[in-house]
Amino acid sequence: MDKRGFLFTIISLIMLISILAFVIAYQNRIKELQDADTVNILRYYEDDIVSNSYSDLMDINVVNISKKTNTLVNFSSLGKYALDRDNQGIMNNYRNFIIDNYSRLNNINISMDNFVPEFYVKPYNSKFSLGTGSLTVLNPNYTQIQRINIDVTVNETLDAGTAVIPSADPGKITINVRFIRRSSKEILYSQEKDQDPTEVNPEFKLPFRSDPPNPTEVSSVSVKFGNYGTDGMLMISTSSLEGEITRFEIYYDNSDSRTIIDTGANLKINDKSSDIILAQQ
Amino acid sequence: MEKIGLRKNRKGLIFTIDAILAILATIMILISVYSIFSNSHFNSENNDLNKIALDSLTVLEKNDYLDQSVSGNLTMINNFLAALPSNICGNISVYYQDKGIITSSKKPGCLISDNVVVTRRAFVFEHKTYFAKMEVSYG
Repeated sequence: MDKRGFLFTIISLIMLISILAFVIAYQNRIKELQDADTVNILRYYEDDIVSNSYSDLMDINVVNISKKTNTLVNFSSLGKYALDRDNQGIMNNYRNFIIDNYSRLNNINISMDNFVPEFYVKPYNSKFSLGTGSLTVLNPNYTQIQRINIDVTVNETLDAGTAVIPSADPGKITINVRFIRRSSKEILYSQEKDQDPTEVNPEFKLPFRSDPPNPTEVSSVSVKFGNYGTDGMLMISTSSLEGEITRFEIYYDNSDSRTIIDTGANLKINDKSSDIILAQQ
Repeated sequence: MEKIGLRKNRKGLIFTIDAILAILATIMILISVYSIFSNSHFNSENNDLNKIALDSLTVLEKNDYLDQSVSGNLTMINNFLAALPSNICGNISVYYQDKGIITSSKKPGCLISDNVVVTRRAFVFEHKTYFAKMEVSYG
C-alpha cells in the first residue's frame, strides 16, 4: 500500500510540475508579445515624427544622391525665402507641439534636441542654413565641390531690370544660376560662370522695378559665391519678394564614405534615441 | 509494543509528507490560475485594432489624404473608411494642434462600440502642424 501511495504521489507531482512549466512558458510568450507590441508602437511614433516633418516644414525635397564619376546631391526644392517667413519659428512651433501636446496625448516622453533650420551634407560637411530671406551654405571643404546649379523661382510681377553678371574665373568652381518667374514660368536670367571660392566675387543678381520707376516698388534676387567671411560660401538672397529654390544640384568629388544629409537633430522617445536624417546614399 | 509504535510513527511521517505535498500542489495550482488570469489585460483583439489604426493613419498621411482633409476634401478619407473590413468601424478626426477639431469623418452605417482603440498621427500642411485621431472598434 505504501509503495502504491508513494507512486501516486510522485505521478501527481510530475503532472503538477508539467502544468507549472506550461504556465511559465505561457507567461514568457505573453511578455514577448507585449514587448514586441511596445517596440512596434514606439517605431510608429518615431516614423510619425522623423519621416517627413523636417522636409515638410522647410519645403525640402531631395530627388536623389547619385554617385558616378562624381557625387551629385540633387534637390527639387530647397526652401522658400521671404522676409515674412520665420523658418526657426515654424520649427519651434512643431517642436513645442510634439513635446507638449503629442507626447501627452500618446502618454510617452519625447525630447527633441537641435531641431533648427540647418542640415549638413556629410562627409563634405557643407552646412545649409535656411534663414529669413536667404539660404547660406558654408563649405569648409570647398576644394571637393565641382559645380553648383541653382534655380530660384520668384513670386514677382514687376518688370525685370538690368541683370548683374559676375566676371568669370576660368578653371574654378562652376556656378549655374537661373531666375524664373513663377506666374509665367519664364526664365528671366540664366548665367553660368566659373568662380574662385577664395575671392569676393560679384553676385548674380536680377532686380525688379515698376515702370515708370517708383522707389518703393523695387525687389531683387541674388546668388553669390566666394569668400564672404569664409572661403567657399554660397548665399542665395531675396529682397522684398518671395523666392523658392526649385533646383539645387551640387556636385562633389567622390568620397569613400557614404553621403548623408543629416539635420543634426536628435529625437528621443522614452529611452530610444534616433537622428533625423533627410536622405542617404 | 515498540513495533506498533514505530509503525504508527512511520504512518504519521507519510501523512505529514502527503499533507505538505498537497499544500505545495494547491499553491502550484493557485499560482497557475492566477498567472493565466492576470494576463487577461493583454487583449489580442485590441492589439489587432491598434495595428489597423496605426497602419491606417500612416497610409493616409503618406498619401497626402490628411493634407487634403485640411483643405476640405474628405473624399479619400471617406473612401478609405468605407473600405475597412465589414466588422470594423472607424472614425477619423483632424485637429489643428490643440485648437480644436477641423474635420471629422466616420464609416457610414457603423457605430463605434465602447471597446474602442484610439491612435493619433501628427502631420504638417503648409508649415502648420495638425494631428489626426482615429478611433476603431469592432462593430
